[in-house]
Amino acid sequence: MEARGEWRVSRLRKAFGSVPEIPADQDYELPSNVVVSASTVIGSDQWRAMGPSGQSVSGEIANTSILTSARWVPVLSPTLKPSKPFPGASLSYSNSMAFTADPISEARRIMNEVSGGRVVKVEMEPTKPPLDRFGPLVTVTVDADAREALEMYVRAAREVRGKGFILDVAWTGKTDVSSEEFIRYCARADVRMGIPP
Amino acid sequence: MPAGMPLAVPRSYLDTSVVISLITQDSCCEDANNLMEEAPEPHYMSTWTLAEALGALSEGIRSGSSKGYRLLRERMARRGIPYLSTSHEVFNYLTEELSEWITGNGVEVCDDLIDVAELEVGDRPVRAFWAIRDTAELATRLGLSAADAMHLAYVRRLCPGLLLTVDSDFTRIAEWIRFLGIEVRGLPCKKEDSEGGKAESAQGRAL
Repeated sequence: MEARGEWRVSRLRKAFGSVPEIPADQDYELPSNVVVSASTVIGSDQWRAMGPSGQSVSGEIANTSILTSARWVPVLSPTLKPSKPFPGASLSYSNSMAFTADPISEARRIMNEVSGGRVVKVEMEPTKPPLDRFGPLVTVTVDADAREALEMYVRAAREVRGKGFILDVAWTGKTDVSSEEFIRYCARADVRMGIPP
Repeated sequence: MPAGMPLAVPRSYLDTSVVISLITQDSCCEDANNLMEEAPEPHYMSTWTLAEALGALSEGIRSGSSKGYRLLRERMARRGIPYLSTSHEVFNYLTEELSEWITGNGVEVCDDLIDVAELEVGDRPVRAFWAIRDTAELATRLGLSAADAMHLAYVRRLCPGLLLTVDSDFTRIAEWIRFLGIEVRGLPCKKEDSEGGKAESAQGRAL
C-alpha cells in the first residue's frame, strides 16, 4: 500500500509539479486567487476539481493537461486532512477558464440571451462571508415585471454555475409575485447556480 | 412488497447523508459525488430520506450556517418583498431547492412502505409504524443500539440493491446490511469535533 502510494505521488509530481509536505495539524488559509481545488482519491488515478459553485471536473492523472498557472498550495480540505501529506495533498490553482474575468459582461450576455435584449442595467458588488466564496454579486435589471424577470433569472442561473459570480435580478415593472413565489424562484436559481441552502 | 424480498433489478438508493453532502457541498461532497457517479443510474431516494433531508437542511439554516437562505433574505429586502415567518420561508425555500435538485440530478423519489404493525402494549393492541416493531426486534435480536437498529430496520425495509452513504453511522452496521445481501458503498468521512467523531472516522475507512 505504501509503495503504491509512493508510486502515485511520483505520478502526481510528474503531472502537477512538486507536492509540498503538509503537516496534519496545521491550518491554512485559502489564497484569494485560488478558486478551484483538486484532489486524488485513494485507489484512483483520477483527479477531480470542485469549484466554489459546485461544478465538478475530473481527468486521468497520467494524461491530464493542466493550466500553466497550476501550482501546489496548502489548502485546508477536511476531506483530505486525515492522511496528509498523501493521500491528502491538495492541488489548487488559478483557473481562468472556469471563472470569467469580467462578470459584468458575462452576466449581461447571459441575461440578454434569455430576455431577448431587455437588460437595462448591470451592477456588481462584493459579497461578505460566507457568500464570498461564490464571488461577487452581479445584479442585472431587466425591462420586465417581476414574474417575467424571475423566470428569466431561473433560466439564466444554470449558465452562471461555476463562473465565479452570483447572479441577481431586478426589474423595472411591477412586483407581481407573492413572497412564496419569490422564494421558490430564488430557491430554483440557487440550486442551478450551485449555492447551497 | 414484503420486507426482505429483493427487487428484480438492483436499485441504488441514496442515503440522506449523500443528499445533504451534495446539496450543502460539505466536506464529504466529493466522496458523495464519486459514489453517485460510480453507481448505476437512476438513483433512488425514499420519502423517508426526503423528509430527513428537509429536517437536516432546516436545522442547518436555523443554526445560522446557511448561505443561500442568507442570500434570499438579502434579495427579499432589496426587492421590497415582504418577509414571512421564518418557518414558512425556510419550508418554501428548502422544498423548492430539494425538488429542483432531485429533478436536476435525475433522482427518483419512491414511496416508503408504510404498513402498520400491531404491538401489544399492556393489555391492549396498539397500531404502530413498522419501524418501531422492526427496530425493537433488531435491537433485541442483534444487540444493536436503538440508533443502529433504526438504521438497519430502514435499510432492510427499503431493500435497495445498493446503498450509497457517507454517513459514518452506517459503518457500524455495514456488515449487517451486507448480510442482508445489500451492497453498501461509502467512503471515509472525517468528523473531528470530538474523540467519538475520530473513532467513527476510523470505522468509516473500514467501510
